[in-house]
Amino acid sequence: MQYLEIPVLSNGSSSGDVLFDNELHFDSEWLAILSKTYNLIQARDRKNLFVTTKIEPLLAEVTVFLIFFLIFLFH
Amino acid sequence: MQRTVNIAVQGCSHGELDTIYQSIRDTECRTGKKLDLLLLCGDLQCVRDAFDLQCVAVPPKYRKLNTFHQYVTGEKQSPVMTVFVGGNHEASNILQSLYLGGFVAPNIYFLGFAGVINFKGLRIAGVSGIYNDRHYHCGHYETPPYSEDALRSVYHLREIEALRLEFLKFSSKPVDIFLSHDWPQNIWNYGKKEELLRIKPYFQEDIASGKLGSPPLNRLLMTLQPSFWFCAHLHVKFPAVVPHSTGSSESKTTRFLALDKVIPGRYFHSWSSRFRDFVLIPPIILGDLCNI
Repeated sequence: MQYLEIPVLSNGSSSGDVLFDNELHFDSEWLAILSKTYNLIQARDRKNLFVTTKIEPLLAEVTVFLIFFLIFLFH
Repeated sequence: MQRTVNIAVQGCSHGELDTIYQSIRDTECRTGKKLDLLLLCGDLQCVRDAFDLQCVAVPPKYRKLNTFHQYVTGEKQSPVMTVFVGGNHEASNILQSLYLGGFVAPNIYFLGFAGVINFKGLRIAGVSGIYNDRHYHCGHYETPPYSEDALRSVYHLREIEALRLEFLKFSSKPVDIFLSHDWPQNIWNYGKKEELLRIKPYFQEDIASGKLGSPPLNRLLMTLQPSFWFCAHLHVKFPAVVPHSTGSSESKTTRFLALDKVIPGRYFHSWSSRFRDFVLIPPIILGDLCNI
């Protein structure tokens, strides 16, 4: 464990809404980033979910089939 | 006018919350200083019940309930505001339900898979999980109960989290502290690499093959240029100072520190002797932090 003492201004900066005990705050710029990238993540997740759940298993099955087919062919 | 924020940083926790909090109480008694914030760099293992245990990626013999559930029920109280990021040994079902961050117990806040908060004027950013190129470009498709594969892929860092954090480079306010579980790739070039390889000689092969560390985190380190970067994961203490070229005459540096886990014989050998291994840094007057 490491201990640090970091000096900050006495009034601090509360750039977001009060989250807890007036000391821990949301970061307003971060909330804006989350908002702006929400559609991006939705689209990406849909695309990757399709690849992960549909395309990849299909490719795996085709690969296995090809291997057995080649073994059968050259046997 | 300035004041000081006292912060303690812990590497991997591995369910040892009681030990960590007791150590903090002891340090407060010893130094007479009140701690404001505790930062945990992952592997907290916030397990509440038997189902949560099944969502932790550890061999069955290491599956222990520990005492986190007592902090959830209120049987025990966290003595200090605790902020943590996820590692690779977590109750992933809990963390996944708090994707954007939230309290897992009173006074114990999860930063989310990627998140930024402000604490007493300090801007703290963090990212959970570890890097694996196989899942980096995927979405979060895992749902509990996890399959053997999903149990591991669920904590792998995704591109979207790194991308979102990278947008902070356009922010008006710099990041003061960055928390991660994994190490940024190439960080060993900014510290005593020989010493690191002496303690962990088997890192040599991984460094040479580029398997050690996280490339996206390295990019975030260079882009966001936080004043401090803390991480854990590799169970070795490793400090480094990363200089950044800002283009102006003022030079900026990131003070990097990777920390060990709570383990007898190292940092937590005994209550009386463990303070020898703690470094109580005197008030750090860093130019950029003074100007907050």
